[in-house]
Amino acid sequence: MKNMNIKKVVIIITITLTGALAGILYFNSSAKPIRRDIVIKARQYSYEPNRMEVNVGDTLYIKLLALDVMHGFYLEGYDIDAEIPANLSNFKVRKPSDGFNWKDTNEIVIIVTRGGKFRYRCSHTCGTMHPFMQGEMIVHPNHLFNGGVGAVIGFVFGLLWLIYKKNKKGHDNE
Amino acid sequence: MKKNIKEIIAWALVLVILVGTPIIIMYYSHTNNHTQKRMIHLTGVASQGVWTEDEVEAADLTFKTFKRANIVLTQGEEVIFRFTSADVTHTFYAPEIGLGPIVVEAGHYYDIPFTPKLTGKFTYYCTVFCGHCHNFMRGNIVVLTSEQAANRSLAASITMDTIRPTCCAPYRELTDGTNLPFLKRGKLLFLDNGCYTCHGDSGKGGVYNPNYVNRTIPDLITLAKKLKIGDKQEADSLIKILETGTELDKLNDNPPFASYCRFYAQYNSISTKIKDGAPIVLKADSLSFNPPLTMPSWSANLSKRDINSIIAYFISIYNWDND
Amino acid sequence: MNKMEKESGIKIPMDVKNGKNTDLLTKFPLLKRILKARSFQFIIILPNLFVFYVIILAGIIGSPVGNRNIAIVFIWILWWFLLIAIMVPFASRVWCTMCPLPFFGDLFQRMAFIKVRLGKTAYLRNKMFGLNKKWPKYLTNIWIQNIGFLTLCTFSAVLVTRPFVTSIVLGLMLLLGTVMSMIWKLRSFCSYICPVSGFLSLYSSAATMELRRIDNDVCLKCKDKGCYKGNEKGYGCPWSEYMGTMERNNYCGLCTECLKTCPNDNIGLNTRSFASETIIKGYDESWKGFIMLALAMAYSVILLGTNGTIKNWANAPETGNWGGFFIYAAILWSSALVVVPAVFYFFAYLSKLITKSTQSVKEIFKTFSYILVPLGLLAWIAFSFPLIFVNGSYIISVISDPLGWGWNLFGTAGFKWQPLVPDYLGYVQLILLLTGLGFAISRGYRVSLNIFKDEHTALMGLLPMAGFALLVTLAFLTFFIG
Repeated sequence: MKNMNIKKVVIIITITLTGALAGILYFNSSAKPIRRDIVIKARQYSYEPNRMEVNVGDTLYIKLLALDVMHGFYLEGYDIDAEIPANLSNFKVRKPSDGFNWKDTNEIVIIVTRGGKFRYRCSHTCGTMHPFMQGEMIVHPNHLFNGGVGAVIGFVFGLLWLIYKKNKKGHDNE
Repeated sequence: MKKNIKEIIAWALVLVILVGTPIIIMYYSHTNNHTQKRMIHLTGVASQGVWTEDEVEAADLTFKTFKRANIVLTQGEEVIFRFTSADVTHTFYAPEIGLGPIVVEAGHYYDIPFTPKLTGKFTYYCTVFCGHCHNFMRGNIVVLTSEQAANRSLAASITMDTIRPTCCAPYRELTDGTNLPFLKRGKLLFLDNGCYTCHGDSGKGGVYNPNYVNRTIPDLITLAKKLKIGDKQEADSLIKILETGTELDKLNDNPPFASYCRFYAQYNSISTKIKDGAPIVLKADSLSFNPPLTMPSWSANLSKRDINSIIAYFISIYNWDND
Repeated sequence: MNKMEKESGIKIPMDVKNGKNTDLLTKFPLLKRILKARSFQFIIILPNLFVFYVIILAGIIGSPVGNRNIAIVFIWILWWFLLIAIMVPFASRVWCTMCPLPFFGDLFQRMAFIKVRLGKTAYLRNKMFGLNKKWPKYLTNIWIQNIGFLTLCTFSAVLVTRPFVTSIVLGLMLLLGTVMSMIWKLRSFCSYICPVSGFLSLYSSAATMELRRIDNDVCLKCKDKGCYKGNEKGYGCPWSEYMGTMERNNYCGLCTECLKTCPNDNIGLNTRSFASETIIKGYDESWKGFIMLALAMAYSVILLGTNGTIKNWANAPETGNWGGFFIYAAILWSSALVVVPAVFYFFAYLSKLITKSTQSVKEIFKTFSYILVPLGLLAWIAFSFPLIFVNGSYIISVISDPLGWGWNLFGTAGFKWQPLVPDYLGYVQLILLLTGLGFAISRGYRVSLNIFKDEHTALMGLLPMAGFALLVTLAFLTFFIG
């Protein structure tokens, strides 16, 4: 009985991982790295653009502007946090891993190395809806999502197939 | 009997919680704030454009109008300024008496001990843009001599609050898609963005900017002259050009009037100043503090056409008869 | 199928057959002593009452800045996460055990915190104060809770960001709970009104813990029925459940009265496997599932999404955009009450087509709607993970300064906002969604067997439902990591 369960688990995991792999390979894209100049405007309670799609290898030159009050820009996965005073072209930036050493700048340069979905959030309380103020940077190829889609589909087929097998076996025994 | 004892203990516990909690909160808050020195508790409220000495509680924000703080100090008196913000990041700056700039993040507390040395009537400012009402976020800070402070009626007459413009809701016409006439739009933008808090009522100028090389902020009613426009005719044709949205640099080859290129150079410098702001201001005393008032960058809030409409409005109100 | 199943015609759940259930009370005698103590519920509510009281006060006199006020941080970050990700999946309605909302209502009805009053009130053998009216029959369902929850959630952008609003809503719920217990019998507020109770009831059916009779025969022979009617050792079930026949977690508030009243010591606290109780009894429960699923999707777009326009619609009290708010509310309500159910109905219809079953589509629809429980619960957990991992640092600062008054009780008031591994949350969310999908399909098959009886048809009937679960999972995957 126990062996049966282990076998089932192994089958499911194998199928799911196969699905994930298939997803990653199928959606794999390789675009030529380019330079992107991006101006991100922060306004209560969203960023514009609220979604940017870039590719691994790109170099991003990001200018940050706040339109009404002081906002922040905490880009997860890339160790960047900025403090953007409104109606000024300069802002302060720091590396969260490095503590609170703020530096004055007017541009952030990011060399995109990690694929996936990375959110940028406001890090300076900017009003009531502040905790929900965020944008997203999609870096292609987004292996987690592509693999995830494959894994989910593989998982469903794996489960249904197991049920089918079990039914068949039950009938054979009778 | 044993059960009744438990019941009594339970009642006691519940009563202790219900009555004790507020008492403990008040008592702790009292001892926590208790110092020998006077504490001046200022809260920044962006939606009303004030630094206030009123208590700002969660229940208040929607209903209450907060009073602009009129800070009164006595020379040599040690006080503690406690800054906090009810909404967004503000900055408190009273350069003339050497206080600030203090960046105040929402909900955080900043205790600054301070002893005033100079006496007189000064202004405090918020120097980080904090929304629609940012420009209104100023008030009086009066330092009395000890003799003045002792004389009540004298102190009252000195510390009387100056009348300052209060922040109003944004103009509906600017946001609801109404097709405003070009010059009217310029005027409303000037009012709506609070430009007059620095450039003076109807752009008459004259607002004092401490340690600024020219002392006061430039007026806008003489903008036509600053743009080197010769007469009313030139002014009218320029307003038309700005209104139709013609690219001004294209007119360089075929100028509408003789002194056009002089105008164009001036126009460029002024519209760039509106667009990008002028964060660095020439100081009168270069070793002293930074002037509190600087031209912010409006590129994010005003389009090129918006900026042109403001320039056109001020060209249009120039009084040519005075020449 | 084993012999017993064939004779009785009832499917016995897998884990009962496998004997996986363990009675925690037999295993831990100390736990049993604690739960059987009359003062247990009082003692466990007391600290919550204190925190709840501080929260209400903080919402009125505290700082208006949400992330510096305990009312917002404790309720919408800490409590919500503990509730949805830990209490409900692992310990059923254990929140109801410690919830302070009915505290004063119970006090009024019993005029006691701990001791038991004997007497006669309706069928109860306890003396209960108040009017003790019977709750109307046509409202004996969770529809009011469904609508109430949806209404609250329509204003969630305001509710979860303004300490004052949070405080007022909690205060009103406390007041309503107290007033209702004066008029109606037992826990009418908890059972039929409390918006939180509604989704607790649905999702607790998936919990890995249950409070049940140990031996069926003992209950059949029992004349006392103290668990239902109360006796000198305790009150009759405040949720009007009879332990002799109770089969589901849904409406059991784990108040532990029956542990005290049972004359035969026949109540056990069992562990069981996740989502092992697969019964949906009425459309109110199905719709609860739809509402929860639709809200999880809507919030992923509105609160955790990036679009500023929708946020401004939801935040109408500040932006004044009530037209937008109306559109937003209309989308929210129609998707929760109509669109998602309609899509599900379509899949149920497909299921009937494929199997050529004689069952009505409605019946298939209702029975299969159980798969919304594991699907929705895990999606909600996946949704809630970023809330605590990103904003959890507020808890550390707020614990030192609960009112936002510049206190520093434990020296942590200056702790800065710092998201915790935000870039790896996607992996956690993917695993959670896969888990939900797995349970939806495996439990879906069990449900399918109950509808279609024979195994081949059951598998065929399951296919459209698996398709629905797959679509929902892919949608969440897109919201979270796509």
